[in-house]
Amino acid sequence: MSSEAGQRSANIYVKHRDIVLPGDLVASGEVSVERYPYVYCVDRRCYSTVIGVAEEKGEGSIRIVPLEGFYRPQEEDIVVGIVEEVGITSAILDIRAPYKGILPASEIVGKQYNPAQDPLINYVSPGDIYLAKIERFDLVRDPLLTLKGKDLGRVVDGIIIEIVPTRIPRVIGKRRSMIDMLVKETQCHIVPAANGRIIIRGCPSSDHEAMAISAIKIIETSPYIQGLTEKIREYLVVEKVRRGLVRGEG
Amino acid sequence: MSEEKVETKRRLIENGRRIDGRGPQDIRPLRFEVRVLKNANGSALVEYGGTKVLAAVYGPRDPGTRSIALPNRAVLRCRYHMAPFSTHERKNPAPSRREIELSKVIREALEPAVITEAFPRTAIDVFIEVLNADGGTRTAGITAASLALADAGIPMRDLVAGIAVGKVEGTLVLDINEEEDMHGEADMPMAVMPSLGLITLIQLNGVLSDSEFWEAIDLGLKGARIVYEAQKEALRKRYSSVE
Repeated sequence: MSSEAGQRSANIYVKHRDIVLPGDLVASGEVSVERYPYVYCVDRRCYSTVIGVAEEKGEGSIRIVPLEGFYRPQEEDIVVGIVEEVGITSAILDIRAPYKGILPASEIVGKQYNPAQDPLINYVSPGDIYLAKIERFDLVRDPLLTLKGKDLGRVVDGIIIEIVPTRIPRVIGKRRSMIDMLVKETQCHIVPAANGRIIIRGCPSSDHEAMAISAIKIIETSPYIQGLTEKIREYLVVEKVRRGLVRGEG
Repeated sequence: MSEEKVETKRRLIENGRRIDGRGPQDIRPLRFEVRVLKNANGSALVEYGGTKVLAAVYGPRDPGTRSIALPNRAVLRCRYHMAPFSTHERKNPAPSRREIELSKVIREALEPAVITEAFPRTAIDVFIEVLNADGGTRTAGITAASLALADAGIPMRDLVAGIAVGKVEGTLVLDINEEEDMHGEADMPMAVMPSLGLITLIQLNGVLSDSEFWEAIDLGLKGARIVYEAQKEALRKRYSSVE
């Protein structure tokens, strides 16, 4: 009886894709609300803590996706880091987060490493850029990075653009729909990292590269517009005709 | 001399109207705007009538000095400052005793709202700059800081709305201006998290009777709700184009 009563008292006060603000009551009772710290629950009443968008995740379950903010590191995230300092046994990377990324020397050198004979500075310099994965992170220690994984390592070509980190899921799209479309239309190799840095390389021409950048900037400035993937595809098609990369029909 | 005093007092509230034409329970015109500074992570410009306050938020970021970092939460650093041109007479730009105290008071009014536990070992910096002072600068500063924190994407339990209640010629009034603050009998600034029904700041300068105090609290909560709605409107306005 108590569980029935609990279900009856479950209420969700926001609709799918509603904008929520800090202090907005989003749900009460027996509901599943994901994503700490973007929701604050007290006395079985859950409030949004950020400016975000409510997303329904099935019956009686919602989550808040923040619209603003900075990058919060999470294990398994792929990030683009810029070397800030080179120490004796590790390099410190700026990963656009409140915490610095630690990249151990063994990851960079890739063999048994002896700092007394072979200083790390021979292998890495401040300003070097790495595509890395967060191997371990808890709130006690800084994020530990690894280069073990597909396509991870030093970035030696292409360009990097920075966008608001909360827009990265939109750049990737549902089941990679947006990123696959961008790659197909621009013929560039695009790697979006969770910390809001995007690597663009291997474009056939500077026009293709410029198109990829402007498309990503449009996504950044107009998130959560319904049918954005189609709008970006149309933009790229028009842009290709305008730049003379393909012949327009009619 | 005593006649002059009576004259001054009479001017503050007359026929139920205050010196600026408001009724006792009216708030000055509010104007809130967010994302006014490009370099800050979050910012807001807040006006309560003639009082104009700018707030900028940076972080969470490396605290710079490891010794001030806390292992279990972020440090909230707050700086309240009055611009030299914000008052009738030039204000010395060096931090005064009052500004140092208000920085602490404002920090303590914001701390219950900010979920600092999510970002251990970091610092969140809040800068509050009073551009024009006409009473209620600390409450306007709290409102502005709260908007700037939300704009920066820092998780908060609720927005914090600031409002002052005063007593002028025996009447409780909402949102006092400088004139009423100078010559009134009491000034009670409050900061409130309206959704949660919690008060994060309450100060009282002057004398209120027991019943007046509780009446003032009710009036302050009512005023805070109006400020809160205006805060939400300002934040929502930025996303009006979202479909």
